Formats: sequence, C-alpha cells, structure tokens
Amino acid sequence: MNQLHKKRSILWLGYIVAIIVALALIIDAISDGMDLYKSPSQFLASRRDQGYIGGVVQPSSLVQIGQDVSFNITDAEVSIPVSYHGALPPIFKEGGDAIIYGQMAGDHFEAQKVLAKHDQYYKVRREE
Amino acid sequence: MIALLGNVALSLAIVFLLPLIGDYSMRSQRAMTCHHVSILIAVLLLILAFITNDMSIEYVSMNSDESLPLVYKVVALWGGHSGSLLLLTFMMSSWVWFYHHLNINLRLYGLAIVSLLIILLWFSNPFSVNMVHLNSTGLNPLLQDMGMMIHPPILYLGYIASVLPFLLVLTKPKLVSQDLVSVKKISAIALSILTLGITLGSWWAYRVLGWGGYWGWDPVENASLLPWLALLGLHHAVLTKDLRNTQRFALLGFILSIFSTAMVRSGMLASVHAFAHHLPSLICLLAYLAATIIVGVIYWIRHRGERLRVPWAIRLHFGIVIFLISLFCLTIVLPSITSLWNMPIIINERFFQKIMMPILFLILFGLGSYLTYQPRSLAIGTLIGLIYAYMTKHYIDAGAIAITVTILTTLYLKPKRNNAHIMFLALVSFILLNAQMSEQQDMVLAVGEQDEGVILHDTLDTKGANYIEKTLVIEIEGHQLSPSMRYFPKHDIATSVPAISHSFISEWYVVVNSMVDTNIWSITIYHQYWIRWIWASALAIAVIFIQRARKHV
Repeated sequence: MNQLHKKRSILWLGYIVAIIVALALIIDAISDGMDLYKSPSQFLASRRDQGYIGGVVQPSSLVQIGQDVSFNITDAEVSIPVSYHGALPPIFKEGGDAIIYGQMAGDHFEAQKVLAKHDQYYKVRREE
Repeated sequence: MIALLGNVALSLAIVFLLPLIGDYSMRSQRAMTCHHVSILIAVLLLILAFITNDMSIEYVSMNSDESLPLVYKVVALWGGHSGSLLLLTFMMSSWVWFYHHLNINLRLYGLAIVSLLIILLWFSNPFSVNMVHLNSTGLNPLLQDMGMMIHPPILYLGYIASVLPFLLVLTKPKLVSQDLVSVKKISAIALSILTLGITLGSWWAYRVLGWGGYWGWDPVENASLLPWLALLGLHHAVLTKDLRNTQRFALLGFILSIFSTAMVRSGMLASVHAFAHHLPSLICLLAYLAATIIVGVIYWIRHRGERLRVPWAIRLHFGIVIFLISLFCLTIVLPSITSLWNMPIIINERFFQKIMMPILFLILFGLGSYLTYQPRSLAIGTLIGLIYAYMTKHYIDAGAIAITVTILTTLYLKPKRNNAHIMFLALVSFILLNAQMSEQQDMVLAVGEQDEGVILHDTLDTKGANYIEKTLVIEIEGHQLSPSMRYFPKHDIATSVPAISHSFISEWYVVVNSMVDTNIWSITIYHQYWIRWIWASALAIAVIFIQRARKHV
C-alpha cells in the first residue's frame, strides 16, 4: 500500500463515519420530531396509549375551570373525552380542528399539548 | 369597465411578446418595454378597482369591502391568489426589463412569462366579473397590518429576481467573467431583498400573530428559506468562479422560487398561514414548476461545466446548502403526500432543532476553518469568558461565549474582513442566547387578581373600524402592558393582539388566549431575550449585501 492508497482509504473511512453519524442524527431527529397523527377512531383501534390525535372539538363539550380544560375530540364515529391543564391557543374553538398530544389515562385522554388548526377558508358568515 | 380594460392590458402583454420571435434587438427591446408597461397598467387598474370599490370584479369583492381603510385597499391587491400572481408576473417582467443590458435571450423570457400570463388570463383571472352577487368577505383580518403591507411584495421581488441568473445561464452555457460579475451583483441584491423580506415576515408573525417567537419552523416559513438558500449558494459559487455550481444554483434558484410560490400561495400547505385554496391555479403552477424542472435537468445534462477544485470550506458550504434545500423540500412535500394515504404526519420544532444543531456546528466549523490564529482575539475571548464565568457561575455558557467572542474578533481582525460572516455569527449567537434564556408561562387571571408578580388591573371595551376589541390592562414587574382580543363580526374570527414592553436586551410579551369566564382570562407571558438583536443582525446582513452589490469587483 503506497502513500496515495493510504490517504484515500483514510478519506473513505472518514466519509463512511460521517455518513453513519449523519444518518444516526437524522433518525434520532425523525423519531423525536416527526409523528403520524390519527383520527380518534383510528387511535382507539390502534390500542396505543400515547400519541397524537387530530380531530374536531365537539361542539358544546368545552368546559374550562381556571387552567383545567376538558373537551371531547371527535370524528364522525367516536368521541374521546380529553383533559388538559394549560392555556388553549387563541384560535382553538368548539367545532374547529385540533391536534392533541398525550396519553390515555383510564377512560379519558390526558393531553400535554393542544394545537389548533386554522380554518383554511374565510367564508361569509351565513345568517341563520 | 375596469375589468374589461384589465383583461385588455393582460392580453396586450401577451401580444407585445410576438415581436420577440423575430430577432431584431432594437425592435424586441421596444416590444419588451411595451409588454412591461401593459403589465404595469394591469396592476394599476387592479389597484384602481380596489380604491373605487368596484365590487363587480370578483377578486375585489372577495378581498375588500367599503369599510376597509384606504391603505389596506391597496394592500388587498396581494391579499389573495390571483392578485399576488399578477404582482409576481409584474416583478418578473420588471427585473428582466431593468436588466436589459445583460442580453438575455428574450425568447426564453417570453416563454417563461407567457405561461404565467396565460394562467392569469384563463385560470386565475383577477379581473373576472362576478356572475352572482356575493356578500363581500373583506380582507382577512390577520392580514390587516403594516407587516402584511410590506413583506409579501418584498419577498416576491427577491424570489423572482432568480429569474435573471436562470435565464442568463440558459442563454449562455459558457458564462464569461463579465457575466459572473453581473450574476454576483444580482444575487447580492436579491439576497438583500429576501433577507429583508424574511426578517419582516418573522417580525410580523411575532407582533401580530401572537406566536411568541421569531421562527416557528412552519412550512411556509421554510418555503421562504428555499430561494434564499439557493441564492446564497449562487453568490458563493460566483465568488469562487465555479461555473458548474453557478449553473446549478442559478437553475435551482428559479425552480425553488416557483416551488415556494406554488406551495405557499395555493393553499397546498396545512399551515397556520391561511391562504385561499385554489385548485386550477395550483395545477397550473405545478405544471409550470414541472416545465422549469425539465428545462433545468435537460440543460444540466447537456451544458454543465467542468468540475472545479474549490477550497473545501466552499464545498462544505455547497453541501450544506444542497442538504438543507432537500430537507426543507421533503418536509414541505411529505405531509401532503402521506395524507393522500390518510396518514397525516406532523413535524414539530424538535425535528428541526435536532437537525439544525449539527448543521450549525458544521457551518461554524467551515467559517472557522479559513481563519488564521490571532493571539489577540483569543485573549479577548478568554477574558470575556472568564468575566462571564466569574459573574454568573454558568461555566458552559461562559465557554460558549468565550469561543464565540474569539471567532468574532478573529473575523473582525482579518485583513479582508467579511462583515456578512460576522453578522451571521452574531445572528446565530443571538438565536442560541434567546433559546437558552427565554421563558414562557401560561396563566389564568381574574380581574383584580395578582399572581407571581402579574396583576390584571382591568379590562376595557373599544371599537375599531370593523371589529370590537377587549383590552386587558396588565402589570408585570412594573411594566404596563395591554394586550387585546379583537373580534371581527363579519368573518366570525377572533384575533389576539399581543402587547410588548421592551428594554435593551429583553422584553415582556403578553398574548391573550381566551376568555375562560366573565372577567377571567387565560394569557401567556413570554420573557424574550435578545430577540430584537436577532432581527437587527438579519437586517445588518441585508444592508451588507447591498454594499456588496454596489462594489465593482
């Protein structure tokens, strides 16, 4: 093995190590920061305890006592009671879309994070 | 009437492109001017329609109403999809018209702009007339602000400047050094404008949307970074006279600008930014994007330049830019793709933070690599680090500060000082300091109640032009703040107006979340450090790029 070979193989070794490190970092980031969210019925069907749920805040289910909030999150099929301690985002409202993160505790879902989704459309309010 | 004239002006803009098919430079130059002026007239006509409340035009009735203040009527021009596309088209023709001395192949330009004009005329016409009379919705309340007024057109102006390098590279596969100088100038100007636009956007989101931060890793924000990254790559490629990378980033720049526009403005992204969903124009823009990509790829296969051995720090820079571009593109496209199979994914800030930290390390490594050792700067850095450690007993922070100060002073003491790099490092330091020191707290307070130094004194009812407002009077450690909640009855939207009380390095930022009960309010308090300095250093970078553009080297 001459000098050039040696230099090249060290370089290649360096590249491989760098790529492995980069992949490890990326996988770590993905496992921490990227999540699939499920609709309430999918979530119940999956029998997992922890995760993201995306659904609609059931109208007239929101109860707020100080920082303690409870509401139901629903899709067309099931509705899950949710409890949460903290401030709700300003655009959070009944009948609006929300994404929550947390885990099941008995019969209700304990949310650690509540995100509200913006309505995409700005419609004229219908007179009823 | 205005609708008719507008359509005529847009059609004339297409007609004036016809002389470009023949190749008489004087004639095509005159045709180009006429074409440019007709687009200008179309823009002016749309503004006129907004000012005169011409509700027969659908776009006007969707985005404006009589009660809107005059300034916002003008701004409403780019409040929706068609108007912003018109503005984009106008800016594209302005750039090419202004830089006519570059001798860009005007036929290529004609192809690039005629497709946009066709989209405007047939698929997303801002001058189309109302068939049925709709109740006017008015401008989205979140957009009724100074930041909204200035930041989108500035961003567009920067985005679409990338059409110049794109066309220039397509015109001349072998760029001569004179062309490189012009590309360098253009990329510096575009970078300056884009940096300004992104900073203003960030500031607007902080001040108006009540996000409580300067950057949310929102898909729309990331999309605005894409052309910026491509232009940054282009600027460095030109500086090193690397033809291959100049071509690469010139092609990428325009493709990414179209990509961002298509993604952002067509409601493709599920994001807190609310834009109208408009399917036909989304399809058109995607087709346009596909066409530019195909042109780019074919050109790249046929005409790409020789590989050049550039310094490794520059190669690292290109690598990072390409990596970040692909990362952001993926994170923007991925959620849309997975939701096709009913598997919506959510990417939160943790993902980006974890990715950006090693990248930041690489950037600093690259920036540091070409510095020569300066005993003076090491001494200054160590001294400041020691003082900090002695005063605060935070040893890790002190170490970080010592290293940062050392690098900054080394950069400063270099014979050929690079101010943009210094300001970039300062920006990074402020971002890290902000992340380290800032705090946030949610609270529920009743009127007259006091909790942890926060007093809610009173609530006031006020009334604006098109909204009703509830203002809270809050005192935090002696600072008087009055955040408010606005309700727009016409849109049935409540927006929260944050209140800020700032000092030299830190500021209190209060945003109202909701009314829990009568006289009981839920608020979030942020104590932000160095946040103004982040924007200030970004603005400084923008200014430095203007200086660059003016230098004749």
